[in-house]
Amino acid sequence: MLYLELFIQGIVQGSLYGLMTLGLTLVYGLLRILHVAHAGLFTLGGYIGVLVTNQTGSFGLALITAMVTVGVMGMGVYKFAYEPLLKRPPFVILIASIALFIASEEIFRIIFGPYGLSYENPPLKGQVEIFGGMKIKVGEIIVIGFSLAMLSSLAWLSKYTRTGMAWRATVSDPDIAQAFGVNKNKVRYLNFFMASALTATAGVFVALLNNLVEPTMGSVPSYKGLAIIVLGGLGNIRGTLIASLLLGVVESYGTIYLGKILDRDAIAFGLLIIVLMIRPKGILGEK
Amino acid sequence: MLRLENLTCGYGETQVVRSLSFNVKEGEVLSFIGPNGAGKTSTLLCLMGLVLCKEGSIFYNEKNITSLPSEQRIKEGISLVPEGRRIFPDLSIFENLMVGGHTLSKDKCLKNISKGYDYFPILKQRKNQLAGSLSGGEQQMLAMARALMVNPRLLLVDEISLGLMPKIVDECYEVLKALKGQGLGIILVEQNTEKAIEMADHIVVLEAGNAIWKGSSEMAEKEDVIQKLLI
Repeated sequence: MLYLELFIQGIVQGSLYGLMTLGLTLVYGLLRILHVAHAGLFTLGGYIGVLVTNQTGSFGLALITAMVTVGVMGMGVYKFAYEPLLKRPPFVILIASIALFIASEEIFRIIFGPYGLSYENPPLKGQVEIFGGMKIKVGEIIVIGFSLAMLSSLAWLSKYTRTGMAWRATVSDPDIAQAFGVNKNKVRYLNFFMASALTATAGVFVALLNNLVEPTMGSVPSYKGLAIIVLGGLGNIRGTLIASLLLGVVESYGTIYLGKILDRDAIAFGLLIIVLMIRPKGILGEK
Repeated sequence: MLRLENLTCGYGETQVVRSLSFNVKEGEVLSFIGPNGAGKTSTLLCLMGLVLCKEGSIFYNEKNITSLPSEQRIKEGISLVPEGRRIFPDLSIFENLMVGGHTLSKDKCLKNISKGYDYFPILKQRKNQLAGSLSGGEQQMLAMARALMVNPRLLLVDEISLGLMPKIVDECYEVLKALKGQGLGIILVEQNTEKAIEMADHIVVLEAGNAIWKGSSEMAEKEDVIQKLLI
């Protein structure tokens, strides 16, 4: 039973990683930017989730508010921090992104205080019994269900809508897509909106499951997110999702069986090293 | 239809093409001939709005389009078959064509896709196949069908025969001739000078960004321009 329980925990964690890192992959795929500041947007999502839920009592409203607000903030990050630097070498944008992330932690500390916020009346706190007396939190079921719904709708949008096709064409060859009338700026803004809205949901859910959001909530995801997208194969969406779930499950078992020797993050990077030794371009990386 | 006046274009500080002027009328083919790096492709990309025009003007149907973005130029009826085909490899044939018709309504798009399939029936058979998995010839057909999605009046065709079997090249040229017959203006960039002269009404020989010879294809043959200037 423990095996199954650990597996489910791993899938929950993996789904959260997926929501968090898919945006990183979207941004990298389109612009070849390592968007470290993404983790700051993740934390912002967590704060908005807690604040709106505490104010209105509605977790659903909080989730939507976080998605929209953080989505717009993500577009702002592109517009004001990245767009002016696009013609510079990629490390310039990386440095700008890291600076932005560090600044965001301090801004959260100034605005919301250093100790973190909790839900006054934590939503979705019940437990459901599944087979064999094993219990799972309602919040966790919601995380898995919501991630599935979000990722399948995103897959559907990119596969079947004209905007989705234009987006994929721009990822593949921006100049030629533009030569056929695709507005690459619109695609970029949309990309940042989607990426940021997704990570906002991850922030809201992490804050929900831990019942805490604090200024440094994004610090581990900021580098672990990069590990995951490298693990999956840079820019590869399917690879990112597989890597997220794999990492969630491996961490879940690892903390029980290797927890005495290695901590959770060491296990994650251990997995990264092993996979890269076998497949240097990541799980689904291009050859 | 198209008139270039002293066009100078390039990337950043570099000028790739200098003071180029020519005309293309409906149903006419103009071929650019010249060695690699002469500025042929850059001229086409500049006409498409993808390379910066630094000086001079581009008039299309007497309208100055020099500073118009690509999106508007397509709507005006200019379309590009790019060098190296540059199809979107991770999209299916159908999706490539849908992107080709991005500026059109969905109905119009679907109608034009079936027209494209009439020109190149193989594309219909493989419509759901990823474009990256097609052979070079099929990719070239796709690149042409994609450019035709917008019902262009002026088609810019870059190195259509590069790396293709002669049979496929002939097939592509047959389609170009049919399009010329329908009154399309075509600007052709071609390394295969024989094909370029055979197809063209007018020739411009470019070298290092300058037009060193201009005239009709008959004159080019009579004066043996290729031998004299390029070999």
